[in-house]
Amino acid sequence: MAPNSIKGFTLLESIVVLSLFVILIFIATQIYFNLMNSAILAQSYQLSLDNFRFGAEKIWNEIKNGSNFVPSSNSLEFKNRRCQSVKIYPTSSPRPNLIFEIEGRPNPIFDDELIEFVSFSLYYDSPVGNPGDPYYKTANKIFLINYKVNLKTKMTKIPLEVWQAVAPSNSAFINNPCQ
Amino acid sequence: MNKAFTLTELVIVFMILLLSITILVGLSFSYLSILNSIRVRYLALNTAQAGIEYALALRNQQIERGLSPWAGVASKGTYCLNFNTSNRRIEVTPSSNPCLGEIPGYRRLITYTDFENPNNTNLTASRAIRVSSEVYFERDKITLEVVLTKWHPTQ
Repeated sequence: MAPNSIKGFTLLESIVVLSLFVILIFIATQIYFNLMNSAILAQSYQLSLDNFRFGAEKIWNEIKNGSNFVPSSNSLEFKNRRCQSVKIYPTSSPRPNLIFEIEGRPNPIFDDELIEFVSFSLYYDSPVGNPGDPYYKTANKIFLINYKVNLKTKMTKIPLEVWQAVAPSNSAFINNPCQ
Repeated sequence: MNKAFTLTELVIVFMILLLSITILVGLSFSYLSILNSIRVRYLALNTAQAGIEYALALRNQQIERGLSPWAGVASKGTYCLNFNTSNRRIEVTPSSNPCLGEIPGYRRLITYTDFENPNNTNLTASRAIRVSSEVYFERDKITLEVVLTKWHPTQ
């Protein structure tokens, strides 16, 4: 027969311990899921931001080395460094995106799995020269581009507005670089 | 004889538990704050680069108009440069304080100094100008620099 000095847990003690255990498991699970969600959000945010930066920098570089600009409020035609015809313009089909077209071959700038394109606006100076004047009198000296996009993450969309200024390097040339 | 836990033991256990939870919660927030910091610095860098581009375009515009390349910024000092989208001109304002750039919360100041003789205060005859574009944001600062030359066949 067991001695009287050995005691088991009372029902109350068991309930308290189990309740504490359940609460701790619940808190730990929530923290784990939050951590996982943050990691997923961070990864997809980084991918989206990188995709946007890659596209915006491509446009910046092409305009920087371009010439013979024909701008409008939401599109730009020019010649690139190889004197190929380039056109940048927004499109709404099949999905909204910004199109970078070289010699009539259109390519979307942003990956629409990562970026939801909203708008593209272009502001530019008005040179004082007339047709026939030296190139530096008729070339645009500055372009200010406004991009509005939403960065797509797996859980939410994060709006991003970026202003980018470009002063084309060739705009002080005497002669047209792509005559 | 069976012993219960002492208060010190319990306090230590709960402190360890609390510390673990705090570290895990902090880790999940630090992911997002790092990403936000990348975005903020990217926007600041764009604002600083815009300042450099305005300085380059201003020089080219002055040449286009038959003026000295440094017209409007011919004194050593700090300026605010912005592109006015209404009249399509680059506006220059002497200022000792940074001015609002394209994005709220990002303030920019452009400094013009003679590249060859930094003590020269009159830049009219300078052959090369150091242009520095500083952007102030969220108690932080980013600076980009470029050297612009006076060279042009018509000058």
